[in-house]
Amino acid sequence: MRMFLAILACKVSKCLLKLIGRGSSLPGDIALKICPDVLSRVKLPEQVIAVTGSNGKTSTVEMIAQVMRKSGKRVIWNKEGSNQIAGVTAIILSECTFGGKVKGDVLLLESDERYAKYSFKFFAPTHYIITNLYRDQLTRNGHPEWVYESVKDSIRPESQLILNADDPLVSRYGKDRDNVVWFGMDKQDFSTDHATGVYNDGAFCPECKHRMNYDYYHYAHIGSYHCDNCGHKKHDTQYTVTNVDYDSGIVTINDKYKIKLLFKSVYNVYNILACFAVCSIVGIDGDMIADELSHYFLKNGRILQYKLGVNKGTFLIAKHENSVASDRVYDYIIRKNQPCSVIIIIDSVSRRYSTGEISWLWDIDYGVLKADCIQHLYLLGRHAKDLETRLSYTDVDMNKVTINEDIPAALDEIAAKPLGKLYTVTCFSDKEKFLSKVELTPAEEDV
Amino acid sequence: MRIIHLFADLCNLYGDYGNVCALKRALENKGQSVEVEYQSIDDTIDISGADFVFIGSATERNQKVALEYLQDYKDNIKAAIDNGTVILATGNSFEMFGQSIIDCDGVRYDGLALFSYETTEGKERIVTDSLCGTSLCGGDIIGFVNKASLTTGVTSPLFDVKQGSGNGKDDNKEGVHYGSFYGTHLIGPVLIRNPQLCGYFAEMLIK
Repeated sequence: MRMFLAILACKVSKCLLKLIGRGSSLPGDIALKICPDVLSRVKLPEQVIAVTGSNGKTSTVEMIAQVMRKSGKRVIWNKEGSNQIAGVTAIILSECTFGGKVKGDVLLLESDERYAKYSFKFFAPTHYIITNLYRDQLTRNGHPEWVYESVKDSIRPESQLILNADDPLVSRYGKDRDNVVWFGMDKQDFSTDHATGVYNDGAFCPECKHRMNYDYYHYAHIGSYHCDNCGHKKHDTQYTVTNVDYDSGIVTINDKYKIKLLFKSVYNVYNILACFAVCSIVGIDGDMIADELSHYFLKNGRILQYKLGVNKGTFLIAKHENSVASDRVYDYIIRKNQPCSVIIIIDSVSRRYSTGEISWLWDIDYGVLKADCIQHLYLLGRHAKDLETRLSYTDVDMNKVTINEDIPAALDEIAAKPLGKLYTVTCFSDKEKFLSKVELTPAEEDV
Repeated sequence: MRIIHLFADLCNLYGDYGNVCALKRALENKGQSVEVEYQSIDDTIDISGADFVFIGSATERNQKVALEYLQDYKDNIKAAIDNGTVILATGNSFEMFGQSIIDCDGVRYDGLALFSYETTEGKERIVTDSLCGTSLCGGDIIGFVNKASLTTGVTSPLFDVKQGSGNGKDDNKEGVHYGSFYGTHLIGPVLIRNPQLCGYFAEMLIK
């Protein structure tokens, strides 16, 4: 009876909120008040797939949803990004019969790395993908080892783990466990024998804290590692990126499946790989997955094409407080090696909380912006001066740097000047401040 | 001028290395030539004769690794402090120099026992923007705290907390200051965000 009431309350409140044009996790909160263990009472679909980790959750989940739907499965997923327990509850109950049966073949969940443990107390994912653990939003997350413990508490023995073997911290979850599927990337042209970036979270073995050895790094602490003291090492992988060719834009998985990269970035490659792995595991044909991923432009607004006055540009999301995301975005821009100007906007550090914390600027490898292809740098927003100070401690030629705390005024100036190709790098918290000033143009193939 | 950055690869969680960059530049702007040396795990730790030593924030586990490693060099560190080498420790790194650290499971780690305070870690993090008063230099100090510990028994604190979090629970004193040893729970590039504090250290070192 309580389950019925919780489902009813959730559906009704969701409808009411929809009428007034609002979506939120409130229906989930109401349902949990009525029946706190409602998630363990409902009958979930046969496949429950969860994705967690610092980066790549939203994109990976979107790709999985696309491939699974195309293969004929009915997928229920939290595409609005409500990834804490109330949001998860709202999604599940609104897709439930009043008898408590969730209507779908697959329940697909993007799970917040700190809150997953609360949802998975009530039900266990059949497949649980963990992408990576980085320094990310440390004002709420503490640090990667702190998040490691949180995610660990969310892992149930009956779930099959699908783990990134290239991340030494993530791969600890697979220790002494049988039901693990590993994915990873072989050495590529862009792999290095030393750590790049201004810090190296792979320097010490996360298992025993002795110095770690790397055969190669792909980026940050992601690569092939082995500890001579305790034996912790990159596990053999069942799903492997065997080749990445940025020139032709083709990624090859398991020497066989070729996928066209619609965005030529290493983190897109990992998202594709994780998606390929889980879709294969649930029985979808590899050629079909490869074909679908070769044609699907992500719709989550993290890569957009725009026109600003006389200039054409590409808008790229790099979460503030996430140095790995920023480093990868700048790597992408520089690898293009075409003359360009880069607009970096740091105004509100977060959309969730107000803080003046800017330590993370020092974790980003801004020195790479010295590249000749970058002709001008525009640093905009409330933290423009903090960023200018940060850049002054790199080899970037400060003559090519313009700072302006007034974002609209700066964008008006840029719009009027023929600058050629532009890139804009900012976070969700500042996204609209930019997009409200530009005209969006259709998604393009990444050449 | 000789600056030693200890455990730059182990205790550098929140861009703390920015402090070394800031001080180096401030000294160079005053005409000093500055050499920065790095000592970490597998190296012999020897800070004797250094003008300034810096250690930054660490994960709770990395802090214990650094602490265990430093135990063999306790006498060297103590002698250097007695001889006037200035040490700045940001984040949880200053906790190592006290009597002990008790982790969130109740396990006790002996500190270097150079000073009297003690630290207890918990399962919740204390995260806050901070505003502190100080008599060291003009103006208030801004910064950020991101820690999972409380430190008690500090007889000589560094800052007065105006907003944010102190050493202990409901404590309006922040950090430690014993002779030439300066410790603060403020994380990251404190000397970048507070040029006046950077100037204080630079002038002191030149004198």
